[in-house]
Amino acid sequence: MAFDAFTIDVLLKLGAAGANQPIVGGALVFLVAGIGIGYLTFVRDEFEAGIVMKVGTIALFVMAILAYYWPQRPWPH
Amino acid sequence: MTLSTEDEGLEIEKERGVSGYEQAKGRQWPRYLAHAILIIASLIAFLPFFWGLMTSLKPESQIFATIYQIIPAHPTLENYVFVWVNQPLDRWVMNSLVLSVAIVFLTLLLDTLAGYALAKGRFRGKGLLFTLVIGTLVIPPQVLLVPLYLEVNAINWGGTYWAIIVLFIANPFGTFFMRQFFLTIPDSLMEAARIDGCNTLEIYTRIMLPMAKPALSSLTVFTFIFAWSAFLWPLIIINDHAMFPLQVGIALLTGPYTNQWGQLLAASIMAAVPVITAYLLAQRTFMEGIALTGNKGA
Repeated sequence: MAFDAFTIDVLLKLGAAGANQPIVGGALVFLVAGIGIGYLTFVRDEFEAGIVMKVGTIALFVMAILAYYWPQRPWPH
Repeated sequence: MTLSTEDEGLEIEKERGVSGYEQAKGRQWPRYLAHAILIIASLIAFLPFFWGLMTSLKPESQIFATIYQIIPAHPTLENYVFVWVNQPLDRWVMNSLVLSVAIVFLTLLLDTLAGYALAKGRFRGKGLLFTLVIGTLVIPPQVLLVPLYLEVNAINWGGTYWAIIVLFIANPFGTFFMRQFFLTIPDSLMEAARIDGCNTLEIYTRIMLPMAKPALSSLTVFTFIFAWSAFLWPLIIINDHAMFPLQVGIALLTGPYTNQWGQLLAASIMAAVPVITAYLLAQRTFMEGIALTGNKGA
């Protein structure tokens, strides 16, 4: 039960972000997507990734940083 | 002998040329008709967007005064500045990006796995499973709104990003789309990979996924457009103003007493930019993917 409450609490904190709060769940989403796409782009040669995937990987990591820091500006942003 | 052969050759070429020309001439009008229909349809689709773009460049006071003068006499970017400064537009864009990227990433992962299993897997009940997946396509999403709302609130996910992401990643269209693509890949490739020592997952990651790049690109654009333009479910399940996706935020810019049409149109034009960019970036592979999977009418 305690585990359930903890899990729910963590999920709620990750999945919700009010005004001026960092979007932690969003940063995690961008980070995981960036690692996944980056792995296919830079590690797996058989994928023969083009410029869109290479730039996209970097953009996803930049977005991960932005999702954490950008919303912490005064409201409305 | 040589002369006769040359004459025959000339005759044949002459006949071919004449018949080919006549055939081509005979076939010209359907092509013209098709092009005319396509040009008219393109104009019908493009005109509202162009009108919206031009109207967003007019000052608020001039929008209804010069409604039939599409090109503004004195274009201004004040609507773009006002909507960006007065509304949390960047936060809504970020929310939409979080949702769209998560939905696209997880949809691609799950739909390729499901499509691979349904195309190349051998297990009992495959036909029934595929019928069930296709069957979910015919259920209108509006029918499911109330039960889904109750379910999501029962697990305390109301008002979170997960309520939107998790609901949208199980996409039967994507599963069907990827299955159609994987069916076109010959089994001999899989057999060769298996002889080289690959297991089922390695065949998927090393053979199937790299070959499915055009289909993946098409599905990415389809899913991104779908996720970016999602409106009804986010409107129902998200209550916090700071967590609205862009489409919901823009819709709520219209109030019961005042409407800032210029700002509304400026925000709408900005909302369309990522979708257009995604399409342009993946245009070539997008077309290839549609052609390869036989989903021309999708």
